[in-house]
Amino acid sequence: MKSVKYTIIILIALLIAVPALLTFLITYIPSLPQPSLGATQKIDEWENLSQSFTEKNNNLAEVALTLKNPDFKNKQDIIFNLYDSTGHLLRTTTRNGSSIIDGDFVKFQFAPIADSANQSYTFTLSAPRVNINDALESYISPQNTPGGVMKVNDKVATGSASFATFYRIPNRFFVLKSVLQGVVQKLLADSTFAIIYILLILSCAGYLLKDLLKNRRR
Amino acid sequence: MDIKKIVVLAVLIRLLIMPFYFHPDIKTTYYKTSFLRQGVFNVYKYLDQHKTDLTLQENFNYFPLTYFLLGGYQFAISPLAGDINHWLANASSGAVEETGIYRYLFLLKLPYIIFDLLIGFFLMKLFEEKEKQRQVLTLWLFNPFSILIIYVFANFDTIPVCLSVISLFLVKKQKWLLSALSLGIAACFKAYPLIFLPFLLLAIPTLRLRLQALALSLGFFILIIFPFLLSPGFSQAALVSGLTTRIFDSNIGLGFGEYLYSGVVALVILFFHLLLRENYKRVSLDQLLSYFIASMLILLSFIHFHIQWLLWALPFIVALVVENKRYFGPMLILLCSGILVPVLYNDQYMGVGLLSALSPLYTLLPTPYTILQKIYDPFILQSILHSLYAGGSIILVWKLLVRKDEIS
Repeated sequence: MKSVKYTIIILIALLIAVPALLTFLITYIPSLPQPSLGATQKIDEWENLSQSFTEKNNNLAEVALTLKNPDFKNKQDIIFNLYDSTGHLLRTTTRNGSSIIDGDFVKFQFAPIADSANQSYTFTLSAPRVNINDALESYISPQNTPGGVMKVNDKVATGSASFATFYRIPNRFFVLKSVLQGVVQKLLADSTFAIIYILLILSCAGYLLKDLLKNRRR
Repeated sequence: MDIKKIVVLAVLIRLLIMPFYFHPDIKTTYYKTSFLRQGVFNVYKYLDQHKTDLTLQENFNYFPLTYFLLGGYQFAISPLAGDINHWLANASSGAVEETGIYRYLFLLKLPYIIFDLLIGFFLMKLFEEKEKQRQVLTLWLFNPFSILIIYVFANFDTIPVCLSVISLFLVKKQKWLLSALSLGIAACFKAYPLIFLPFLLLAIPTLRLRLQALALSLGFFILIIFPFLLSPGFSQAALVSGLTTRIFDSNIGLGFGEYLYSGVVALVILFFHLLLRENYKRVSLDQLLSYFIASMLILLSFIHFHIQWLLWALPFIVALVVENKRYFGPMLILLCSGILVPVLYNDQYMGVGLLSALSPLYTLLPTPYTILQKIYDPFILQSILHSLYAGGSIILVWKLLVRKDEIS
């Protein structure tokens, strides 16, 4: 009977406790999805890139792009600036090319902007000290970002930067709550299956419980 | 706990797990087998000709009975399965967010419960003592390895595993031909049961019966694959994939284009060890069990394996441990090191990806491979664990071959 006990404990640990605990490690959640990758745009002393967008969620805290760093040549800083719709600089952060592998999904993290939902922003990528031969390259998508405009050296260009945005979770239990709500919603959306499934579980559990109670009475 | 309660509790645990853990292999396999409903007989030719039209473009890497059984099963569940065909064909990451996913995973894994319970039943039948029957059933139904491999990773290996166990049971009943046939049928799902065949043949008492058994087993296997042999898709996908090629990956070069294949050498050593047994005594059921386990331990020691391949020896290991508890500790260490090897592969679905049916947010988390990469070479750690597995297997194989226990 030890194998029954240990198996149940191990399964509860691996399949319930661990997933629950893992939710506490997720602190940034995708907001705007990344469109497809197409051509690339160099970011160097001669060229910079800007992209406007409208954020869906509050607590905007990260913008991520896929960057090329051919032959790992670039070991310089790339500057990320985030502006509001009036052109006021809200956030700035840098990443160094030495930590960017070719084709990496690079995240520019910054302090969350609490009331970012439905607000328009523009981010720019620049590298004023980088030679054209060592430039990082940002992937561009042929699809336009809805409500957004891409500019290269302040001139409007076709398509959009291939980027995604992330928002920071408002509290520790947000993700756990989302996961549980998601599971329940998905189950209830398929109500026929949910009813049959729950009945099956209750039948098995009921049989075992009835037997347990019968043995206890003896 | 009586047997009925053991079974009900085991089924309850499986029902609780089945709908919520997702590995893409189950979707890919059932997608490929769903073409049977469209009247496709030769799935290898069909996929070869229509690959670019399909959303999931991998080959069908298994033998034909897999196609017909799983495809036929989809006929049976079609009234209950809702829009499963749309889900099976959905190659995007959004597939895990489809409303019916819990129903689909539940239905697709349902056959595995049947084979799982059958394995337990036939393991019981290997023993005469009621208490040992209860123990083997309990240990089979309540070990986390089989539950995780069958219902979380959800490959169909449980089908050929069940047939291999039935084969061993039939040896106990001295139904030699049926035993060989069972291995032949199992091989029509996955090739590995053919590795048991030489050992089974040595257990058969007369040469005439051995030849009949060999003809029946291989004959059935060839009969099933024969219509597909000339299909280009079949030879590329089923004959030269997975085990059939990996067994040749571990080798020692002899020069002039020749190699010694470590896995093959080790299996041949086992075979000759049984062939040259003392006084050519009758091979007991217990000895055959040892050789079945030994062949799988040795095989997996010398190849890069998928996690579900650990299931191949597991029922036999359970029977061994019930028969002699001193093997419990070493086998547990071996299984733990064995299961950690594939968990460290660079594959999201060896870790957090399995939770994506609960929520796609889990895929934001790094895999064990990605985490390890930051501090150490994950391939070295995989190799150390695999070496541990191989070293432990070699000693256990030796111990198995020299023991004198009997199943009772």
